[in-house]
Amino acid sequence: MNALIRKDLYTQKVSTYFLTALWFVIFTNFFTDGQPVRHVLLLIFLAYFIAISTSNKSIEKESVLINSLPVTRKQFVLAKYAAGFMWFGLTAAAVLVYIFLFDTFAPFPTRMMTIPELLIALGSFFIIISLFYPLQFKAGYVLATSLTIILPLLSMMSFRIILNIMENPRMVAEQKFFRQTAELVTVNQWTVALAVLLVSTLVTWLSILVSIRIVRKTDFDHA
Amino acid sequence: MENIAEVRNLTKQFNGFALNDLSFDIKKGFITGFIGANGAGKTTTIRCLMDLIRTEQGEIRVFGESHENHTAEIKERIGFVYDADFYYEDLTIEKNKRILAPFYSEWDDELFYQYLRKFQLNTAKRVKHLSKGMRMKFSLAMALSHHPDFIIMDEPTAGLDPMVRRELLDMMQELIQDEEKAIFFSTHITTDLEKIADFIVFIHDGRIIFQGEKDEFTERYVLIKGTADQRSLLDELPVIGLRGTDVGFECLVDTAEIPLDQLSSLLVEQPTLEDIMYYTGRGGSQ
Repeated sequence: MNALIRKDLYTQKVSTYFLTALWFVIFTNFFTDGQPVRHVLLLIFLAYFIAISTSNKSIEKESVLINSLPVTRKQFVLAKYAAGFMWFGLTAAAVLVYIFLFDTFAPFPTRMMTIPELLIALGSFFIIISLFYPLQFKAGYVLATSLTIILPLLSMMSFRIILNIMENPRMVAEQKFFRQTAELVTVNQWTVALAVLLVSTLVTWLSILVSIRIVRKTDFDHA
Repeated sequence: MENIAEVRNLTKQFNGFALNDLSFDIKKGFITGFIGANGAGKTTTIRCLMDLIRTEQGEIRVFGESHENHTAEIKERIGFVYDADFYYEDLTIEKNKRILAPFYSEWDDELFYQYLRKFQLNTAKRVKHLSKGMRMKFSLAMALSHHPDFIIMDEPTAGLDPMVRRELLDMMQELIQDEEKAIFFSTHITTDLEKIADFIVFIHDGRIIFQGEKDEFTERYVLIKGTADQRSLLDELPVIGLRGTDVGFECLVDTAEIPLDQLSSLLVEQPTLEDIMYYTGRGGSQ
């Protein structure tokens, strides 16, 4: 299994890391303004982008090579999910350095991510890859990417809508609701984080079972 | 003779193609050639042997075990040479080795570099920049460097120039010397088999037509030639394939079905493997 995870690391294209920088632009408009929610979203989708980039469109071809090696189909699937921790760890390091630089030098108030925020990001990341992998194993990389790429777009849209509501003087009731929710989440960060992790664990477990089932029946007949 | 692999009643349906009830053995200490025309089912059968393609019915046992419960242990002892380029094309030979070697507990770096020197392969070269022959040699070095007991090669000689092909065949013969290994290789280049194969498995249209010793194979079939007038002698006889010419005909006959004494008035010749493949594929048409 270690060899499978290392394989993902070694075969990751250098260009992926450069392309990943685009997400910094999308989620923070080049420079973070210190909103913690931006950092959480940035971390989730950065890790997601890097993770799915290892499973690029040559996955069908690579599957023939990997499955002719001394590994079981179950290990092949499990390694994909286990590698998620590696991608998340690397991404978290990059994002934390980025925030640290702003925290140290920016002329506006900002702060480092808290542990519950990191856990929320980790849980959310695993929920997304849990949707991605079964889709990829069943329907291929292009379809899986197309369907799951909607998630960051939706989250960005939602974030923008909430920001607009907060700036709209006619929507006082909605503003009150979002403020209360934000307060609730801030006060109960650990509870929220644990709830996300719990849901994520359940979803990931189900996803692994489904993926193993799909891969067990798959014919690696790519020519 | 000990079997290194046994295939029993293997059946697999694809869209418009099927492997039908295949049964054959691969003997330890010998080279078994797997022949058949393009599209006969060679690659599919090999991928079933490697558990890359799931079987619908039947059983495959390699080293006495099935893939169902022992696939990792089985593949640890197999050296597989692919029919296409499945290695990481953008990476160098060295990087490919670094990625794939840790999968094998018996990987022998010294042996790998020894093969590279023998094949004159540069470790710093990217796989995509290797010629067809070089790729095959690299593939072979990768397949042999973990001391496999069973070497499976899917069309290893296809597209290679005669020099490289001959080198490859010589190497196969060297590998089999200790009689502890087995080689199973598919090809449609029958002259390769004539040179080195001990056993033949012949597949046609998803069915095994023959399996056994190479000499038995070529002895069992005969090539019959005759004039146009003699053609009627074959009426109602189950010839395998027939080709009519302006002056006469040629056909392949299985002596297990038609005894030779029935054909005594005709010219009987020993067919080559290519003749057998050709007439089997052709059928009884004119």
